[in-house]
Amino acid sequence: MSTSNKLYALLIFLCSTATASAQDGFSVFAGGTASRLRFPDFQQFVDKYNDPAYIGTDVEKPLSFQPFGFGYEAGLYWRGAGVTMGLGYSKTKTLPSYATLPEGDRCFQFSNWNYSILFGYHIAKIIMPYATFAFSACHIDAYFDYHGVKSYGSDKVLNGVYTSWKGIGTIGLRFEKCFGRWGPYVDFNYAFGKKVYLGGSFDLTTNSTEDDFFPTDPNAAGTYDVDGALHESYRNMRLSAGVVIYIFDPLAE
Amino acid sequence: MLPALLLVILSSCFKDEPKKEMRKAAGSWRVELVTIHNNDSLGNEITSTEISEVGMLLLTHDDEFMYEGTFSYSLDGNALSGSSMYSLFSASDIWGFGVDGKTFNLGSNDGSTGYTTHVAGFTVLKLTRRKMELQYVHVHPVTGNLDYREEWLLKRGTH
Repeated sequence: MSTSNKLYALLIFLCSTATASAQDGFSVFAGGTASRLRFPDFQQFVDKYNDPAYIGTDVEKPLSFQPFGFGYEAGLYWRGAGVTMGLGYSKTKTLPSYATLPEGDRCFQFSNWNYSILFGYHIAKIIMPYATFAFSACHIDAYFDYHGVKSYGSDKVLNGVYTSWKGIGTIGLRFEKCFGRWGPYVDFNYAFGKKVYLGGSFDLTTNSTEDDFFPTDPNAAGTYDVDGALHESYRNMRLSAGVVIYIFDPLAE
Repeated sequence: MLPALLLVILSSCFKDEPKKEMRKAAGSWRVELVTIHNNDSLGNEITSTEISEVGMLLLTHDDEFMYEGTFSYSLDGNALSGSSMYSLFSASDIWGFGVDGKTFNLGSNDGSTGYTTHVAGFTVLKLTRRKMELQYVHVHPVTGNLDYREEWLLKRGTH
């Protein structure tokens, strides 16, 4: 999302809050996240990659999927009579999934961005069940690390950055405790969305979501065949914790 | 109303990354330094060669949201006779960025068929409006180890 679009979104949100009544509240929040990015189809790729017919017999450490990731989130919300509406941004990056070969490490790393709109309801000023609609992007960074020299280039067939984006829904529960103008929060949510293909690495002529899909079978790398492409869901679990700053909010009174 | 408007705004997310990076990279670059690191068959570096001030590279693109551009160069072919990247530029006529701006790609376009062939992909080590660093890696055909690595340091300018 371009910087100008982020500013437009912020401006519109602030304009909407400017028309709110005096009893309404406005808060901002920021925190760290720990996620489990669930990509079951990538396991098929891992199994085929680890086949000795593909990887050879002198592999030092076979490829294993690392689904756990860490990141950050930030956002703002407006609250009126318990009803909350907000905007949020979060980014998560998994630990690298890698195989160790004599010449170096074959690495894959997932990352996930969400731009979300939140609707929730505060219960007893502490608990907020909520739902969001989010635009979510997922990347696989595929690179080779030659003992310290990291390459995304055409020296290896799978190298590149593959991406997709999709509208998803999440449901979650947030606990927050107000101490004057600030308070800590803990948040747990689950994202669900349909499966999408992850594509786009070296193509020069089209947008990044259409060509050169990440393959389910490493032997099919670079074949541009969508039937053999990785088809992943956005069903992820996320736990986050951080701080809320109550700029003006009935919860802080 | 407000959520719908926000959705429209947010729907513009994620599609513009290669284009954004291409805009940043477009223009005139001075190739300040080319470094070629040569390795032995086990992947250990044995020599490195530095070639400085080899000429200019001009990257252009249109504004029609095509993730490709044309380029022209005035590079010293004699000084760069040992450079694989120079050979790859010579065999190409269009350039583009991959997703996230992490790869700089060269291609060749067949005007009669409209097909684009991918010639090579370099790793973008650094890209700002004033500085760009590209890396090309070649692997040993037998051992698979790093055979040689070439780095281009480019700086904005015409001289």
